Amino acid sequence: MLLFIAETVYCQTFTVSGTVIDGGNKMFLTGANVYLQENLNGASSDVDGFYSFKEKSGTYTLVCLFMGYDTVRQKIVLNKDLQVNFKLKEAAVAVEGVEIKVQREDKNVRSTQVGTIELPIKQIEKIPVMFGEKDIIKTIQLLPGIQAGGEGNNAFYVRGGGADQNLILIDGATVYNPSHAAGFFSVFNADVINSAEIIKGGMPPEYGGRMSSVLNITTLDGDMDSYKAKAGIGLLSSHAQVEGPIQRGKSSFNIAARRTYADVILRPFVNGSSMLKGLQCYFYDINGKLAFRLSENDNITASFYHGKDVFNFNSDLQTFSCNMNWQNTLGVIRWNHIFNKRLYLDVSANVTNYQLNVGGYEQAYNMTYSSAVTDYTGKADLTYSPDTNNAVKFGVSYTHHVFSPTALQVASGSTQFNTGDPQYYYARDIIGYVQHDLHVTPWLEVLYGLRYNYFAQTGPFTRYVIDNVFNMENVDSTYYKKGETVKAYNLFEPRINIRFQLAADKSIKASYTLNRQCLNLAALMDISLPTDIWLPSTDLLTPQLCHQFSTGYFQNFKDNTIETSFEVYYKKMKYMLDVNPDANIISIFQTNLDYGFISGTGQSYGMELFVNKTAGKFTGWVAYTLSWTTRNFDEIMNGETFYARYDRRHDVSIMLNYELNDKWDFSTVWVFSSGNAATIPNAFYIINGNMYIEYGEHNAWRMPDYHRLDISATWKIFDTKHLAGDLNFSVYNVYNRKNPYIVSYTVDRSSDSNIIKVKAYQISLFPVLPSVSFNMQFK
Amino acid sequence: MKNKINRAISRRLFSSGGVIVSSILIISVLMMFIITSCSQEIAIDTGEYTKRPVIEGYIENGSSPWVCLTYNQAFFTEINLDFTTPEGMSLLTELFITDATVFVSDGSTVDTLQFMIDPAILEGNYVWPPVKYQGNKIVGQVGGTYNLTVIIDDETYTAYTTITTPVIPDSIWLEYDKANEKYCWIHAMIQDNAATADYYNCFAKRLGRDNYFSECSNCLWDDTYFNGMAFEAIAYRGSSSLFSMDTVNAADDKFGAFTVGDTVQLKVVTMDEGSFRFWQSLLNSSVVHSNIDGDAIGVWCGYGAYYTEPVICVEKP
Repeated sequence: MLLFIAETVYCQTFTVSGTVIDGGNKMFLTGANVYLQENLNGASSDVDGFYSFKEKSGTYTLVCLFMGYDTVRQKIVLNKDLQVNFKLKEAAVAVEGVEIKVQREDKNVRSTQVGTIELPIKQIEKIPVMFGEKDIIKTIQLLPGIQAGGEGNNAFYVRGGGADQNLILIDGATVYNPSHAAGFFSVFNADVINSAEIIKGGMPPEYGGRMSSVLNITTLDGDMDSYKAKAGIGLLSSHAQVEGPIQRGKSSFNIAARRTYADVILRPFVNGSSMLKGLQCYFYDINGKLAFRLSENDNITASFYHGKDVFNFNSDLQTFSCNMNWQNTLGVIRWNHIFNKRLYLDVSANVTNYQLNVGGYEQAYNMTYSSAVTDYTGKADLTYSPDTNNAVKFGVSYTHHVFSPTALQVASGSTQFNTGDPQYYYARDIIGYVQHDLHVTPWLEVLYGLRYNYFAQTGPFTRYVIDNVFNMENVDSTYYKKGETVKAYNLFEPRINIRFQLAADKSIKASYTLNRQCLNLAALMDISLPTDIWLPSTDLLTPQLCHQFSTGYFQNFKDNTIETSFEVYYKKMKYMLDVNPDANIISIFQTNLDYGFISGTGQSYGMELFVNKTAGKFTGWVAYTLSWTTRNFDEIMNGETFYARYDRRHDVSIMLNYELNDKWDFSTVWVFSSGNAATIPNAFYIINGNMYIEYGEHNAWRMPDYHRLDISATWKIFDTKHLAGDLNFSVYNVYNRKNPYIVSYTVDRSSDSNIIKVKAYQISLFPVLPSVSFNMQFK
Repeated sequence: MKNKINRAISRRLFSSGGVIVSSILIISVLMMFIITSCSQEIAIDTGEYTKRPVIEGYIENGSSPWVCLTYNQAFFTEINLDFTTPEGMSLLTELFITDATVFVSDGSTVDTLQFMIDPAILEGNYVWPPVKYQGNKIVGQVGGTYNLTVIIDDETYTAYTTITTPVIPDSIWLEYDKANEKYCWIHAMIQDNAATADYYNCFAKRLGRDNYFSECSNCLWDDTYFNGMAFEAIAYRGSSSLFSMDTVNAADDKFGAFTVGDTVQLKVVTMDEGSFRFWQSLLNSSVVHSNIDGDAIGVWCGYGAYYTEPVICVEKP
């Protein structure tokens, strides 16, 4: 009997859980690795610093490891559930010439998720950037399977998906336009980013609403112990950040702001005849966060973001002028509660708004236009870990969408045109999901689940019935009153991720996901612009659908300091949208905007190779992607298959960082990508004495290849107890590669010649661009 | 001519249906100016193209029909406009279709159009069209419907158009450029008929300077936006065509504006829906809607035309 009891105790499993915080500023640390030294069983801390895992009874050494902090080891006797909270101290400054060797986490190999990369924030700060503006999206574009939208463009394309197929979250709230300055900078201020993770394949059921990826960014809580500040001055912009306790150890604030001033700096250099005369162009943004630690088990945060771009052009030299601005505003309130070692609750409410206003004027002719999207969301997620081998997460959310895609006013002199009433689209979006992370055996782990999405377009709404040729005579209509369902969709999205652990440092993973997307971005140009319009799925627009299969081999080397992966994927997409090339814009503005789209299919497949050295004086990665992306639309090339604009056969990114000593850091980035597909003219004809273009096959031509080398050096000028300062020198496009941005065509006929000839010009944006920025930190 | 692309963009500005696209183009073009570091000429292999006839024909009230026939050309084809040279003359046969059969019918009369060369081109002047098929038996009448038949290499192309009721502006006045009162635009107040779907365009000719009426920018409208209203049309001077030649003070002209001292005659036209859809799609869409039956590009266009009295661009009082 005693033997039996002893055996029972021996076989019992217990929970080890707790939180990991920065011992200095009391902020939660995300991604800290907590594990048992004896068998490497453990877990990573989540965005609230919480970790939890199960283990059989016994005596162990519990290790808490996080880059940049001293590693903590603690003996534990596991004969009951244990709560162990860690307060980590920042690691001492490395002695020159001595490399501190630490054991690295093996999440790359042990996580079930395929196609997921956690971005190293510290590394992002060292990457050379244009004009000294650190930018997380520019870093994302260096990862395998993710392609940049073009020179300087912040749009990114994941595994053949469109720019609108990326769910971009700040503290859980959707960001509809992640770009400043028409795509040259992102809205994410590097001073306040706590963690960033991108999921491009194997999306777990807790995420959805987009077909290609999730970029999940969390912002930093303020320091709960002492006041700190950072400031930086660059050629284009300045930024400042202040944080500190409201009530020491219990609550904190964190505020950061940026403002560009390129137009102000350029103004003295703009002469009377310059095209820049009359230009006003800037952006600013503000991040704020309040954090309250109510108890060991309860935390509340409130975060806020507002960013605005202004672009005005009013010149005496031109007959036209324009005023344009766009802005993102969002607020999130979040409460998380630890019921017990097995149950964890996260509840949040958020509001997000994106708004665009455009005014165009040409003498007595003027036009104003605006569009907006606003979401009101409430959500709750519950994590339950009943035993060592199971972790279940389920959640619900409700979002009320309000889209105002078009509000147009046009006047010609004294005549105010009838441009129709502003159009509104309303939608109810209810989500429920459940996911189960199951350790079947020590070598087999399965994360599977189901996501359910009830999406309904609702009234008030007037559906006009117009024919294919947009004949506006005798148009019928149906009116739906407020709250009435126009069209409802019940969408089920099964997901599964499987990991086969081949050895401690190597694994094979595979995943299948079905994603549905009920929000659509109508891109009016080939490049992403703030004027792109968001629209929901309606009775005319079926939610987009994507099946994705991906698998990969993952192996780490040298105590997990070198991570490697090789992944292949295949995606089949349906109900993708494009602008109807034949649409009568007047008719759709006066009736329903969703008549302006066509629906088609797409597919994408490829392989990705990633080698990432994460520790040591020399760090960096090499990423290579080989891919094919095609589309089919009945209205384009009679339904024949054509390459997507961002179909690129080869995509290479190399990022290297070298920490010479405690004074100097060096880094470099080299990128190469095959040219974009483009549709080019193949003929012209003359009507009324003017030349008009005939286009060839859709996206059948290739732009020249893109490649570029950037370098950067950071000099830490001083670093005292209370003050640190550094100078960053960057050179963008070191060898002055004239990369293609667009191809333009000019009819060339000099005044003394009778010869008319069309010439093609490649427009390149950025030549070699040196920049310097100064950053200061008050500790 | 370096400004041709910019002019082409401007032609789209605020034109019917191009409002949003236009604003985006403005912004994009400005962004280009701001940040463009360089441009370099590149060679592009455009691949094969399908050779097709281009039919451009007109009939308006009080005039006989005429048709210009050309072929579309490979994108980088060079055009020599000097028809006094052998190279220029060879263009006549490569670009223009000179051996077609063209006739117009009004239901009772068939007018076979005759091929003719404008003598001005043989003196080294530029005109559009330099060659055309001209009718002389039929004179356009308001309300009349006219059928066009073109036979090229045994292929037959047909179209029909109607001459709609012309519209007479209630008033015409000048608006001066605030930055430089030497330049001006012409405003015309037009009353739209609420009972009909109406389609408008406006052309201008600087007497003594231009050798034909050029299409004013931003004047191609249907009445969807202002049905039944009096609307204020603003005539921006259209760009010179490839085949026209500014003769006086061309360098001093301001794009889109008339200059004090110009004497301008406006031609205000109405047209039927088929004609309008062609012009509209030509400016605003990647899919051009021809009203020609057969694999041809182009339009057979009936205009209800009203020619204004000459407007003298006087100095601002």
